[in-house]
Amino acid sequence: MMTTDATDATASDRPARQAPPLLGALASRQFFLVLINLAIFVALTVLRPDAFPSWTNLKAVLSLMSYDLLIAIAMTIVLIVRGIDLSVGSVLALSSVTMALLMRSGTPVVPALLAGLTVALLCGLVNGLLVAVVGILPFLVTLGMMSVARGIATVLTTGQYISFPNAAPWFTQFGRHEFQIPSGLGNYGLPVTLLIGLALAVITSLLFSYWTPLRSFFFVGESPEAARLSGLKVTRLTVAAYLLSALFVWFTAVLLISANKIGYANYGVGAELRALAAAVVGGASLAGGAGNIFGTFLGVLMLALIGNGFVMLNGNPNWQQASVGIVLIAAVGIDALRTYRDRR
Amino acid sequence: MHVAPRRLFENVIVVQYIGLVCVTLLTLFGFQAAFGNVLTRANLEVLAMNMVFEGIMALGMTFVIITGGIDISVASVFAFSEILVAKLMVQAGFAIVPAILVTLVAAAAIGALNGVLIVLFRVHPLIITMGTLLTLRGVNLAITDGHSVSGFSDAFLFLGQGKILGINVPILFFAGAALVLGVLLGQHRFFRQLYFIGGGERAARLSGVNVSRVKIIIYMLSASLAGCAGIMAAAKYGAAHWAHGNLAELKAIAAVAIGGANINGGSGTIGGTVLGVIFLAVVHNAFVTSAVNTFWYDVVSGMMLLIAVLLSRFIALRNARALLGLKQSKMDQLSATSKT
Amino acid sequence: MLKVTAVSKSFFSNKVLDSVDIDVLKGEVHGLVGENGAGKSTLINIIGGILQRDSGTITFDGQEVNFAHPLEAMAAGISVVHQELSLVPNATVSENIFLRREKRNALGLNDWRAMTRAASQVFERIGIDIDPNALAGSLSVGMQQLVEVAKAISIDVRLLIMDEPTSSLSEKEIDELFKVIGDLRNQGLAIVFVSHKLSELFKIAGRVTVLRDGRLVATAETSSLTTNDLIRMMVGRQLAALYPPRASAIGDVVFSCKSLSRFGAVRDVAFEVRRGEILGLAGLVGAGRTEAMRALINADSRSSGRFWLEGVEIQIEDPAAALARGIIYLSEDRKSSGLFLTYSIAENIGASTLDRYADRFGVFHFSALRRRSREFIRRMDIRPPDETARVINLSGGNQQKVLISKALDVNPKLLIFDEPTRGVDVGAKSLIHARLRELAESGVGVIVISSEMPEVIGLSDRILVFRNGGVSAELDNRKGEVSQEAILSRAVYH
Repeated sequence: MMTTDATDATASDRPARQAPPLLGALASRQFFLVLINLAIFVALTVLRPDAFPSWTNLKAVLSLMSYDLLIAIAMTIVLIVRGIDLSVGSVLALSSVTMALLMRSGTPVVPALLAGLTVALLCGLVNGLLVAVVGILPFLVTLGMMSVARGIATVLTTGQYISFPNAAPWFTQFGRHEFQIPSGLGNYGLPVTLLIGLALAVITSLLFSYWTPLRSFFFVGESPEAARLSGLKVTRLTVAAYLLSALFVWFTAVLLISANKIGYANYGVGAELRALAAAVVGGASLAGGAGNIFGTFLGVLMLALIGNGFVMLNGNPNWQQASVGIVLIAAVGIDALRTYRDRR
Repeated sequence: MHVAPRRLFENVIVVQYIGLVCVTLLTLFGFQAAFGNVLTRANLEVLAMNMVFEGIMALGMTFVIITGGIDISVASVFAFSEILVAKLMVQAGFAIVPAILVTLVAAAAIGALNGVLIVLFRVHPLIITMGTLLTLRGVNLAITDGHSVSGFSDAFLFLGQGKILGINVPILFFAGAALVLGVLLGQHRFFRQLYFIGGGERAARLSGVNVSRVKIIIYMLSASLAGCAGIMAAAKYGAAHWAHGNLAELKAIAAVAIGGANINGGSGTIGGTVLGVIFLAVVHNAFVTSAVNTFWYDVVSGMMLLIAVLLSRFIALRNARALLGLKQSKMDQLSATSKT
Repeated sequence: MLKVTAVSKSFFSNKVLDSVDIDVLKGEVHGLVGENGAGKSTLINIIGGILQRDSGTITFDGQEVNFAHPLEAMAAGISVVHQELSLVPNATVSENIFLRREKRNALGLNDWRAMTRAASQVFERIGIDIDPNALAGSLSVGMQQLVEVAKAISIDVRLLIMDEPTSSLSEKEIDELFKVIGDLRNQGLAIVFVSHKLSELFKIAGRVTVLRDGRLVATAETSSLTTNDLIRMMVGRQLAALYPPRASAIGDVVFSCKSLSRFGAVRDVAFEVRRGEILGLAGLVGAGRTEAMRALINADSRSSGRFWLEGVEIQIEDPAAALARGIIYLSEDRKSSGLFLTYSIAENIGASTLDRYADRFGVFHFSALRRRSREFIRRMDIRPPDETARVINLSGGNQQKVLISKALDVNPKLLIFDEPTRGVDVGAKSLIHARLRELAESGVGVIVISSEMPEVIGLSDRILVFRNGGVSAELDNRKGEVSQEAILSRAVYH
């Protein structure tokens, strides 16, 4: 009996994808990614033994990673249903701006957060409806939404930082809070944002692998027509995917404004492409029907390590953006080569 | 433009074009009535120049979209070309012509890279060009450190700000390019192959179409046009900046979509794209005339794309319905006249 | 004209062709048959230059040849018409024909007039009348197939290979195509004709070559063979009867439908299905059978229709609602709207019944699914017998079996099967027929849409003949009303 190999032969013009696990075993792609991450980690430790492996540096990398992780999960969810969401970064900005403005003008924290959630869900709903009901290509819909959302955020704030000093202190403090782990060697603080991000990732990963309602997402993405005839409510599920994605975007916005104590219309610029890079590296496919949260996590980790590597070795942060693009092309290239080989 | 007479399909497209022209004229005259100052020569120039660079990129985008692909890196190639030609002239002391040539070669090379990667890795062009977009954007930012590059000679500035026979140079370029490319797409067998590729790559390949070669050339063309646009933009603004061309790919795609091309490939014409560009320019200008807050630009651009695509979707649905209507009447006819 | 000697081909360790011989004479239509996986496609792809052989020789017109690319084969005079239509809808007919060989003028631009003239000449040669300047997308499927033939013979062709050219054609269009083939044969062309439909081969081929598991079984004159002989050679065993015996007892009505219409496609269709019977839907392609069934489950929106299931009137809002009631429709195009190609057999089987394998918390139990899938694999003889195998790697017959398994897992009350054996080899075909009959006997209503006359006649207890979007006749097999002539006469207008 064969075990499921994630990169088996596939349809002719599609990139390699992973089927939902029948056995739940780690597929070879994730293994490969873990290796890569380890390799980068080791390389950086060797090259910068003083700066890189310090807890301060690692903590910074991991904290920043939390936001990218949640956005990348949002992207993964949409990719599974054969969609794409280029508006994640902009909706992040819009949601953060909404919450910040409300809190600045005196609204208590919880209603403000709910308002931010509503805004994000609304964007997700529009995206989902235009894609699933009207039938416009997700790429085009979310490209337009990206522009609109960020535009509105900019209009509302005229590009300025929005602080909310009057908000309840528990909110502004929790974003930077760290759980102290007492250890004989010194103090190691675990940022709350990291823990929340990881927790959400783990929960989502398990849900998508084992919870039946979410498994149908995969079928919708793999072949919407077949899914429809198989009795799956394709429209409903597609819209749900975009709403779920919006939920994760909101999570990120909440953590972000709590940590930075400001709402800002330029949050998340370029986030959608980083998220896409991470998700595709992790096993998702633009053709739908595939996606792995753990893989996405590994992808985000890899991008974070590479970015940190640039800072360690080069010092010029401007090359970081370029590096993400190269990673995307390289990762997809390697992936396509493996598929091409396996296909023969 | 086409010598060969066509039938059913093209009639539908012609109706679409007429509709587009009508809506454009309506908007134009409507805003003239409401705000005045729209149909002045000065404003029409602004209107045209506002979209001319995106328009040039839309021409290249048309070819790419017909083959079923997409090139979202054009905006970054545009900015890159601006920066490169600027730096070559200002910092490296190149003369104008060599600087332009080198820049165009560089742009074509990037396009070739796009094409080669797409063909080699058989990955969706969206991913590859997205990677190029990211990379180039980062490169643009890095090599300028966020500053603009300026200090061009007057001769160079003419390319963007000058006029020949009273018409701005970039607009002339756009018109000329549209004409040449339109004829090529309609009549030249190399470019006719685009439709074959868009209609089914495997079949095209088996018929002897060198799909890989055609695709690489098309992406080179798209990038080169973006390069031309970038050079003229640097001349027009008198400075090159990494953030120029923001959302240009969105507007280019919108123009092609409004022009009637199927985003999935297989159809589309230069003429349609030109109409789409004009339409977008008019709408954009209308908004600018009436609104004050410049931060609304992006919102407007996004809305335009959504409206454009909604429009073409609506038209497609209406065409489908019309087709069903035809079938229904045929069915009724047939059953009425039969006796068995 | 063509002599293939001891040609072999392997894909990695998989030997697809093993020392096969075939020869085709001028002025002959030579049939090529075999089950799926017998090697027919590989053989013709090698002859046509699309694949390269591993060993053996090919002699064409007296000379030994070695084609590295289809264009080389074309230059030598060998042309292939593939199964899938490959015309580009947005280009004209003449452009499609002369792709890569367009007539140009001095500027390098297309010379439309010369192309039109040349295209008309080709059409004349095979006696058809199509406007060369029409956009290919505006033609019917039958005409597109004829354009493909025209394209193939527009070169200086001496050997024409046709791979299942009739799979999407109606009976009438097939007759037209055969007339063209006959004309070409009389003009001295050598023709290879690959088909699953044995009746066609007897109609058109002079000799036939049978392949089985990559080996040559025999080459013989069709006049000296019967269908059973051919089948025996193809599968290596005598099939007891081609179709399972018809129903012994027919029960009460399980499903009925009235005034089913879809704007532009279906006109006022009404019918009943009884327990134990198989209702066949016959008619020309495009007559509205698929459209009617899709409208029934509202996969394409219908404009009217009332339905009763087991005597109770029901609403069917969408395929999901239909499924909830036990009505399942299996699409004729399994690749695009039936199967989840890159997923495994098990996942495909469980696609419509996801909730069955979930516990009350919604956790999915893979083990249950795998167990059930293995049952189906056994029952339906699915090969390879591995529930984690990806469906895309399966042959057509096995894919179809997976599709049926999926439907059976639903425990349906009404099964609508659109083209159950399209692209399926003979062995799998009879198994599918047997299973369908079993299903009907167990009390499930079964509707089968088939464009293969023998299949629809052999399988159905009653036949609805569709014409022009509506039902033109109802023929009861038990009353002896069914015959090919009866069906055909109600399927066309005259």
